[in-house]
Amino acid sequence: MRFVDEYRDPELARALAAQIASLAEPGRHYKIMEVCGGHTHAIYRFGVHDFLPETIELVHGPGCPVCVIPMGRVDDAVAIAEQHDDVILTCFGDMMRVPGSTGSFLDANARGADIRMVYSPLDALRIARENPEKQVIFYAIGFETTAPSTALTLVRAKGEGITNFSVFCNHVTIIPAIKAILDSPDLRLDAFIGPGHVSTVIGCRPYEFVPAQHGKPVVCAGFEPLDVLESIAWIMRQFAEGRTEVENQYARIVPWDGNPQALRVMADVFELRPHFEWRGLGFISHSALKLSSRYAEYDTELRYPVPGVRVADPKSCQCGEVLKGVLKPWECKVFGTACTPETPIGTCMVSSEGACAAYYNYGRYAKKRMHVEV
Amino acid sequence: MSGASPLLPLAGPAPPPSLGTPVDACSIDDGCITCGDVAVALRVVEADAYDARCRDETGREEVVATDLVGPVAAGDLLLVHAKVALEKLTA
Repeated sequence: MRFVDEYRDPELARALAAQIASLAEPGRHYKIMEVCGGHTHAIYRFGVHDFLPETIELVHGPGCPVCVIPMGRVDDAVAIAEQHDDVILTCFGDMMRVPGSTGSFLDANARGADIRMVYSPLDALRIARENPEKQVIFYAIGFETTAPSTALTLVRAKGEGITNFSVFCNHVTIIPAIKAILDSPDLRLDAFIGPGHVSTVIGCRPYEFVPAQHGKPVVCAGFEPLDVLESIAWIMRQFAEGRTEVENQYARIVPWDGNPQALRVMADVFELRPHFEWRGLGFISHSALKLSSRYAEYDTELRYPVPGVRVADPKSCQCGEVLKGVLKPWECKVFGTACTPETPIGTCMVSSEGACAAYYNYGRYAKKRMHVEV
Repeated sequence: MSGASPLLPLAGPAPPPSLGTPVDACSIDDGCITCGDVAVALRVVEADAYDARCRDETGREEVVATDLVGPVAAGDLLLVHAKVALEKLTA
């Protein structure tokens, strides 16, 4: 398959692994964070970490959009759906099983609320057209990959004069999260594997503060195993040559300046929230989006009273530490026992991009690496 | 813009064959292609001003919005996320 087979060649993987090993400085330990949950998934699925020397540690970042949703935001949407008979709440599939303090969307659905999975916000808009007597809410999550599709949907809704549609906006932005991680005192990182498809929208320039202000390399990477390995090789080459800069390994997809049209639409539809709570990272200033005043009529939080109660994670759940890369998934007290993909306690176990779910599905039998001879 | 696309009868009868349902969109093997930082490459079969009917290499089809990538034509390859094209690919 084009764009796939050529990035899964085992011989090329071994060659890259040998290159990475040769660039590693003896006695030095490297901690490289893959920001994006898609990379975490690929690393576990394809065993990328088995190709790396023991001295290179991959740290899983907060880039799984489901994983960073705090429980209180789930409760808010459940309350709206359960208290209004005319509401149809729509959301992406992964979101259905995220536990709130009163249960997940699936639980609320079982109790009688009308909550439906959709594949796209455009599908939610279609449901609104088909059900003019109902109020259709799209529970929007995701980083800059997904925010343009929500923005475009709102532009279409406004253009068509559809009034029974609104968006409960939980979109977050990646740069403030990276800044929060860099400012975290309990985490020492050497470099970042930058998100691939987020960068398709925002481009590579927004990461330039990382090498400029923090002296750490960033390589925006694709999602195939050779993409990830090559990105690590590029990072290691930067270390070997004494450089720190932003590089674009995923240039076949990611334009250096992003997608200007998508950024324009987002700037029209959204504005930054003063602050937003991230699971595991706490409140981060200017890290999330809400609807702009031009689209206020489509803002669910202005249409309905929202409880807005902050809910603490279950004491046994250590998603916060996992999201910051301080703990490995299997180091959580309930990993694989009380918390599994079938009965998740924490968000990291819900989404297939969550570090815990990825590790549970692909690596739980081998906590130590299966080293690949290169 | 105003009005729904003529290519995509969004308010009309059943949509065209889908690339996936929300359930299989979240398969363990492929990751969550709806809410994660994941997108897929699809080839345009036909297009109008706002939407394009696209096909993947296994023959599955989906209608995607093309407002964010400008005009597209049959044969173009698009990077698609949540039924919205994010980028026109060169290959």
